[in-house]
This record gives sequence, structure tokens and C-alpha cells, in this order.
Amino acid sequence: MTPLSKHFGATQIRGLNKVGDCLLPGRDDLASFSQLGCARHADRILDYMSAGDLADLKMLLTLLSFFPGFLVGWLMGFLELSSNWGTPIGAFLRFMRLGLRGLIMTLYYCDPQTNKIIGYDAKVYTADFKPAPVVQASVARSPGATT
Amino acid sequence: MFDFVIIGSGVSGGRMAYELTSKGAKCLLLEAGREFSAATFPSQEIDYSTQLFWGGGLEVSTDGRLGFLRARCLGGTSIVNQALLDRFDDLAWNDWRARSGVSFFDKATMEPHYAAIESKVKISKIPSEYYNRNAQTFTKACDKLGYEWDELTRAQGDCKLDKGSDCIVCLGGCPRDSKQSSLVTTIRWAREQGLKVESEFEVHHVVYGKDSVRVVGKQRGQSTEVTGARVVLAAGALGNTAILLRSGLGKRLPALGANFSCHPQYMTYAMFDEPIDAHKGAFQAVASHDPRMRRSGFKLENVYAPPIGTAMLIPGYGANHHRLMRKYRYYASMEVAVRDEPAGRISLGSGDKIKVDKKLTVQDRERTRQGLGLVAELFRGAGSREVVSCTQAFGLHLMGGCAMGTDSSVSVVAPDFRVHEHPNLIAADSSIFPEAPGINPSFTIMALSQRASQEVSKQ
Repeated sequence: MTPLSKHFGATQIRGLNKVGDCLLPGRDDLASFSQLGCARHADRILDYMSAGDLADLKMLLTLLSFFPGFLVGWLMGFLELSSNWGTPIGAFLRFMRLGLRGLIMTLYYCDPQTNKIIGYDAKVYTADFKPAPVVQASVARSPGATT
Repeated sequence: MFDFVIIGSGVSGGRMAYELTSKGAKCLLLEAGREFSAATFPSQEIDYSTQLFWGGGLEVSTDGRLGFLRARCLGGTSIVNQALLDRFDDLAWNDWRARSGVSFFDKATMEPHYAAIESKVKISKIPSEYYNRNAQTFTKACDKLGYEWDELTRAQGDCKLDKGSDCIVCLGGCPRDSKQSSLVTTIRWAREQGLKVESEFEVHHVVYGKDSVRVVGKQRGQSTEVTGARVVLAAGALGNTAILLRSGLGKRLPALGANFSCHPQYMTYAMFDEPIDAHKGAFQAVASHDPRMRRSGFKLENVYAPPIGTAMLIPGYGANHHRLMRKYRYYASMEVAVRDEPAGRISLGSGDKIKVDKKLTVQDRERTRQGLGLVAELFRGAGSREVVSCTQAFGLHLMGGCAMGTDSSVSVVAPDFRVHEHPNLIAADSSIFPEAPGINPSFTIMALSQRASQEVSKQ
């Protein structure tokens, strides 16, 4: 079976789904994060993440994968309060909140099914569009690179 | 050796490249990001956020309260912005002149530069019959409470609104080259005149010499150097400052990194009973144009965000967040953009990474409070049944760090656009702003760059 992500293993996917289902548990016709299978989009973000950030994220999700659901819920609620904290700890919590929230919201609201339900259908008319010819750099006038 | 190595390809880098190659100079343009085209811009929000921006879409101030969006692709911010052509007013120029001592910071002196740029790009305003319901809500709400608004002047060609184009898509690059980005204007014209372009070249620092400047960085992971007689720094407030700090200029230029501002922006969503479809049709057709707001230090913009952006901005989580997002089509939206004090500082953190210390001052917070209060009043007056104020502020106009001025103890760039005591280093982009203008900066960056190209060509 093809793995969901080349960066995340099963443990990190479990942690991702726990956080995802806490932030986006589903309501009416909107499915929960894990039901929608949002983890399959993860590499579209992770492929462009720095090695350091990716390592930090994997460590955090691994840790969260072992948390019981209620504790993940408590942590997310606690992070939401971080805007009131002015200390370096507050800054750390806000970073964690933005990182997790950014990941979850991005993976959920990039999904075509979600966009269809909320009615996002933006497009640009291009049927008549003819791109301008590509202009190649003139090497003759620019010989000075000293690489 | 090149006559000029230009670092950064946004509105300043592109303009400098075009103007200098027009005068016969051999120029090399370096860009840290990739080169895309109308046919290859990532079409999905998740993909353009990660591929067209630094930091995978968002960078954050050291206290985590402000997010910054900074483009990283050939064409820079001009690829992802709304191509607004706003001239500075007397207030902005007078404040700049008073703070910097620079005499050409003056409406009449700068007008020929604005006009020269306008003469070469496609310009339009959105006809009122193409205002979408978000714009209609904005104008009606302002009219009802007696606030002035105006149509925005935009650098764009034919967006085919009559064929149903939704210009929100162009936040990730315009797929029909209607938006007059640097990529389809100045960089294209400069290439026709011999400009060489190297993308995916991330500059780390420069080595300054009396007769030449070495530019040191990595291209696609490989250590690389290029040399120019002069270097144009056009990597924006964060990029330019970081390059100069890594080059060891911090001790000789005590103001390097200071004076950072970003026009902090706060979105408010207002739910209506009928669909607004703010994501459809023309995007950002109008804005506030009211002298009372100008005096109070904020303006209101008529914008919207695609689903991921909206989900990030709408506060909270869980079932209520789903409820609010389910109403995506039913929101009108306005944004308060604050003319903030230049109290931020850019520095280097561990691993030479860029660090931005930016806290809102008492005045900034008061301006924000007033602006958000007015937006809520406007939306209630327009009949909204639920107003959702977003607490996450973000900055799109990153300014300062290398402020222009006559006194080298409090500025970095001299009025001739050269870094103090380093005449082979030139800058004309938003990094040289002495303070926030409270007006969209793009057009003035182009005008300043046009002027800079004339200054540096004199020698």
C-alpha cells in the first residue's frame, strides 16, 4: 500500500489526525479531519519545509500521538489562550498554535470536497490567452559571471 | 564582471533592471525563488502558499503576534499583490521629509517618476458594473454612514471579467498575464535588452570592495559567487537588512535594522442572510478614501481571502469554526490597515536567520481599535447579522531596516540611494522607507527605483 506521506510515518499521521479531529471534528455535511483523509495532502506542505522545522514538527506530532484525546483537546484550548500571554513562553505557545493550526486548516481547506461544500469555485478565464514568447537571457551581453 | 548585480526581482529589482539595461548597463538579476509563468503558477492555495512565499507561506514576529507574507519567486511581491498604483499624498511625503531630511521626498518632485511608470503599463479601474457584492456592500456601508471611498487604480490589462474571471485566483499569480507584475513588464523588457536572470539563487552576504562587490550565496544548494561593479539591493526590508547584517555592516551603520513597520492588517468578516460571494469576480475594486480615517492613521480595504486564509483568520476551532466556515459564501469582508509607528527592529538570530521584533505601540493599538470599531459599525449599518473580528494581525507591506536619510547615525541609505560610506551598494525598495506611509507602497517603490536608476547612472 502506498504510504500517505513520504515524510510522516504512521505515528506522526496518528498525531496529525488527533490534532486535526480536535480542531476540525466535523459538523453537518463537513466531515472530520481524519474522515476526510486530509493527511494525504501533507507532502504538499512538507516538501517545502526546512529540515529543522520538519524535524520539530515530527517530534511534536510523535509526542501528541501518545496523548489521550482529551489531553490533546485541553492543549489546543490552552494554546488558544496564548494570545493573552506576554512572556517568552507565550511567544512559544503562539508559535506552536500557529504552526499546528496552519497545518490542519491548510490540509482540510485545500480538499476539493471541502471547497465544494463551502462553495469556493474561483477560476480565471484563459481560453483566449496566448502567452508572450519567452525571452531568453542574452549571454552575449552578460558575460561577466564569475561563478 | 557585471555593471550591476541586482538582488531581488520585485517591483524595485525589476524596475532597476529595466532602467539600467535601457541605459546600456550589463546587469544580472538574482532571485531566491523559482521562475514561474502564467501557465505554471500553482493554481491551488496550498501550493502557491508553500511555493511562492518565504517560510512556506508565513513568517512570524519574535513574539508570535504578527504574521508576515513575503513573496519568493521571480517577480517577487508583484506576482502575489493586487497591482495597486497608489500615489503618496502630501501627508506621507511631508512626514518622510521631516523624519529623514531628504528634500526630494515631495509630491511635485516625485510626480514625473510616477508618470513615467504609468506611461508604460496597462492601467485600469474596475467599472462599477463589475463590482462584486463585497464591493457593493463596502460602498453602500460607507455611503450610509457618510465615509468617503474611491475606486482603486490597478496595473492590469484585460481580466475578462465579462467571461467570469475571479481575480482572487491571482493572489497566487495571474494565469492570463493581465496583472502587470515585474515578470511580465520590467523583467521581460530588460531581458529583451540583455538582462541575465538567475533564479533559485539565495544571497547570503556581500563582500564590499572599492571597485567591485562580490555577492556570495547558494544556487540550488551549490555555493556560488558573482561579481558586479555595483550591487543593487532589492530584496525588501527583511532581505536587504539581513544581507547587510551578514556582511558585517551592522557596526558601521548603527541604524541598520531599525525603523521597521508593516501596516498591520486585521480582517473582519460580516455574515449576511444572502450569499455575498466575495471570492467571485473583480477583487479589491475600492478602498476607503476618507480624510478622517487618514488623520486617524488607518484605512479600510475591501478584500477577501481564499478558504485556507479565511480558516486561519477566523478565530476559534471545533464545531463553531465549521459553522462559520460553512457560511464562506455569505461573508462580506473589510480589512483595517494601520499606519504603524516604525518601532520594529530586524536582526539576525541563530544560524543567521532573520528575526523581526515588532510590537504594536500604544498609538498603533489605538488606531487598530478605532478602525475595527468603525468596521463593525459599517457592517452593522449594512445589515450584517454576525460580525467576526479576527485577532491574528499580519503585515504585507514590510518596510524599513535600511531607512534613507541625511544623517548616517540614524539612517542607512543616503539621498543618492547609496548606502552610507558604501557607494557601490544601492537600494531603492521598501527597505529605505523612513516610516510607514499608510498608503500602498508598490507604486512609490517603482518611482523611487526609477529615480535611483537615474542617480546611479550619473557616474
